[in-house]
Amino acid sequence: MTTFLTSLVIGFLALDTTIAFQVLISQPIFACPILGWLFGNPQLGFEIGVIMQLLWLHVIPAGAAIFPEGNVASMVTCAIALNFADSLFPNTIFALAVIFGIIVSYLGAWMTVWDRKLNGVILNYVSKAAEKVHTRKMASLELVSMIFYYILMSGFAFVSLLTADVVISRLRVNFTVPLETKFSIIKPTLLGIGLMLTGFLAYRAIKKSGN
Amino acid sequence: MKTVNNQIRKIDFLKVFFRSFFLQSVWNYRSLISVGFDICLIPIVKRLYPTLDSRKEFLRRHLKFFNSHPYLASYALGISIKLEEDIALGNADASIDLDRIKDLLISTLGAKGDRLFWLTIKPFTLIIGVLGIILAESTSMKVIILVMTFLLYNIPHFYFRYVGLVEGYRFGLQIYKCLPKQRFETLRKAYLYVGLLAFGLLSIYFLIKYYSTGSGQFLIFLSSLVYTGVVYRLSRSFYYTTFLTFFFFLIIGLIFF
Repeated sequence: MTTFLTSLVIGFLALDTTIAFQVLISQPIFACPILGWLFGNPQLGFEIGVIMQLLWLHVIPAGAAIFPEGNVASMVTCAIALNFADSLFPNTIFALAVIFGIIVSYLGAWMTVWDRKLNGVILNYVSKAAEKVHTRKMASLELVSMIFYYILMSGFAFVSLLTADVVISRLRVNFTVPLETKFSIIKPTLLGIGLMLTGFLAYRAIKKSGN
Repeated sequence: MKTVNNQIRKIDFLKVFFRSFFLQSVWNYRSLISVGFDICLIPIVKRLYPTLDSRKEFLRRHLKFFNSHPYLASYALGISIKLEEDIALGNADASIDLDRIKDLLISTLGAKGDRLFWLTIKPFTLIIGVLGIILAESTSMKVIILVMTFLLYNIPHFYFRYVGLVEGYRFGLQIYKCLPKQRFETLRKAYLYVGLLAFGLLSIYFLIKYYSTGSGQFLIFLSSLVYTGVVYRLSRSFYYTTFLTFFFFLIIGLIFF
């Protein structure tokens, strides 16, 4: 699948995080297998989806908090790994994909902040439309806001995937078997991080039960 | 006393229900979810108010600052529909009541929703899904698990989005009667306990898996668990924890493996 089409799919799935529906399809265990299926490699999609899900599970996108954009980050990580699935060095590719994913999660959080600031401008237009009782215009402005978020996240995913493509293609010549062996620690490390962070979340949930 | 010519119909509830899926689409720092809230109620304004001025007042009322958990906001929508009906019937106090109850609901629905969905149903459903995917051997079985995970989460999600509307409308200002402290506790505890069991099984699965893989990977897995625990306790930051643990073990791998 082309980088452009992948980005469009990521942008669409990202809408589910907070903007529309919120039915969980943006969560890594759903989004990564969907990407895997589109790339013709659902198994890898499932495998990465599980690791990414545990890593990002404890992030709660509630209220005005600036939260890491873990869903987009997971999808970008997964798309990078799927894009280089034919490589003889899957662990090395995955390590680089995770590094890209973490950067994407950080920058993605700021993308969300910008989107919300832009929504402040849309609020002005909605208020004017409400004064004139242009309900159709109000609904159109809501749609504009969603389209803007979609373009923002698709564009962001596109740039991230393109950058990853260029960087990994250049680094590829330096990949070696010993390096691949060293990077075999990535998956148990990420699962360890994910399980412990999930453990903290479970602890919080139990503590709340006592209240 | 006036009468409302156009009574609220079931189709109006369905329209509001559908629109509620886009409640947070224009989330902004000045009025939070009020734009989505206002747009959700457009089918109601068309039903209740015939004049342009009364419609303008309605739209203005609901553009005021408002926030809530996106699923349980349906209760606030239901109450708003009820009170708007009262306003349309000529009850002038209903407008003041509406502002007051919406202000009160911000914290109540936010806290209840966060506790029920963000802290319990969502994470524990996903943990159950992760466990199911890991244990399923074939791809088709994994897909079935995904569908079941989707349903496990979205049945209560859709239920509260719709029932909140109906109950909010039915109870109106008496909403406290249908939202006592223990209202969601049985459901919450069911997800919590099943999810905790799944989390325990998941942890055991990975321990056994890495134990049987070899001492190196097992050691890395255990150490990353402990390291994450310590860093997170000290920093309380996701980024510090993930970055520090990930790069620490990357260096360990590069040096010792």
